[in-house]
Amino acid sequence: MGGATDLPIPFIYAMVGASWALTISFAVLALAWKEPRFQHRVAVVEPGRRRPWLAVAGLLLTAWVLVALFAGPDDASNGGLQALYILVWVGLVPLALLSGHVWRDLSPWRTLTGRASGRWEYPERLGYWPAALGLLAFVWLELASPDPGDVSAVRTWVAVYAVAMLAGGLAFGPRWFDRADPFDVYSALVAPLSPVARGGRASRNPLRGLTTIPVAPGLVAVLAVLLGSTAYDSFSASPFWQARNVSVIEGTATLVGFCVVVGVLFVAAASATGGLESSARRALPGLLAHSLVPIVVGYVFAHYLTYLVEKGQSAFFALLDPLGRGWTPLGDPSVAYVLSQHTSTLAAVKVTCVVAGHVVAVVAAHDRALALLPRAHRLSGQLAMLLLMVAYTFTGLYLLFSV
Amino acid sequence: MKRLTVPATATLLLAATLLAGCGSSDEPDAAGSTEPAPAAASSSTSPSTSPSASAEPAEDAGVVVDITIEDGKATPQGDRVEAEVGETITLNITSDAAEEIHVHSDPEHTWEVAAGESITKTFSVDTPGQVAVEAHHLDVTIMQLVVR
Repeated sequence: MGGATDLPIPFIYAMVGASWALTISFAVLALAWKEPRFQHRVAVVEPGRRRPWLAVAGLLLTAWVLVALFAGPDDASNGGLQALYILVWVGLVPLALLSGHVWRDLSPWRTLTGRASGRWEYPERLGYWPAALGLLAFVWLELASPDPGDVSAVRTWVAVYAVAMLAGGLAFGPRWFDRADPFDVYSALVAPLSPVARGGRASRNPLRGLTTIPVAPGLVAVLAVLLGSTAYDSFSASPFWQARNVSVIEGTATLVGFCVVVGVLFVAAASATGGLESSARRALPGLLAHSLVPIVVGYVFAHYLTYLVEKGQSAFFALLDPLGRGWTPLGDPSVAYVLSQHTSTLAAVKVTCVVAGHVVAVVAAHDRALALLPRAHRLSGQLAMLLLMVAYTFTGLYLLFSV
Repeated sequence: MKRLTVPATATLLLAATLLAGCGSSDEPDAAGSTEPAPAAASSSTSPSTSPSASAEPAEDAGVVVDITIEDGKATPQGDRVEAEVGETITLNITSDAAEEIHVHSDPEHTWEVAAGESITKTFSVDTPGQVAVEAHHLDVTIMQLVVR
């Protein structure tokens, strides 16, 4: 996608952010509560019925975007292309954060395949792995494919995605979307951070909400793809990387490498504790994975906020002209650079997002660790995870500052 | 807090729209398109920040960057070049192959360079940010303009 990108944040902003992150992390470890606070009520709330008006809205919006994608212009001005990369991919996060897992109601695939339980049981041992692969396929298309702005490539991707979702939904019922639809799963992971629960009929503490994320195989992989790919996006714009002629294979390998490193470090740090049987130790990464969600959300916000707010406007205007006929029903389609014009404010907002995500993550990990670790290892068993989170956050701030 | 934000945001939106409106009016494409680079600009392939470094005493030449595309390689490649909002940016582009140069500002600029040709293009950027200048066929980023 064309257009300008953010300026690097000033060094002092990165430093202040890093200092806060470090200080608060160790303060949480040393001073915070010593008994778990958010773990005891494991009331898994049955998700309510999907709201029909949202299902209708979802169908209409999907139809609109698909018409723009498949019938619109063949270049990067295509409204469907912009809507996918900007409104769907990035807009999904604030939507889930503000209003919960609305994606479930909006999802056209859930609507079209109905509530029937499907032909087979979803194989639970697959867990979130299909979603992790789907997410990897999407970030590959966006960040490492030969030409991300190539409309025909995006059309192919979307067509394969739609067929896979419909087929999976018919075969396995709604469970398929809870575990295999990359966008649905992404939204479901962010939504527990929202104060809005159960379709707006309840509110809750995000820290308690986080504990309700269902643990299944592949959960760490999903989060590693989200965090690793965002870091790769930043890294691939660095002078170091741009000065090289990177082939598609090298780009792909580096993207996958970023995700793998993020995931492997998390697994290692989560299981670095004493006093547990090896089977209990193997369960730790999954049980602590929910604490990665705030880090992902904070970093995604910092990285993509301008993209969403400013390029989102061009995507919106492009959608108003789905066939590329020059329609401007709302008048002058020029972008208001509300964030870029205020560079210091923008830098402060970005650092705040990263640090806030970090703090929530550290608190969530601390609280769950208290419940999981044997009493003698409660502090030492958290240390590796805490250091890893600090490392993630420092890397994020470094990329924001240096690229 | 809430009462303050709404009018403030509205003002910002309005101001930004006005600014964008002024900026997008016309592309300052006065420089000749097939003329070789003017003598003053040929100092070096300097990713030099400073307008003051220019040897031209008569007027402020702004940022001048020489770009060479030769044997399938762009020089510079991946550099950072500092510029100010509204400052005149001049690119002297020489290529031994047909190439398409993209400047990812708003509005975007796309310039064709024929094989063996040199062109000089002038533009400015009205919004702070990093603007990529890319060689489309080679698929490389020549430089990022860091516009403050």
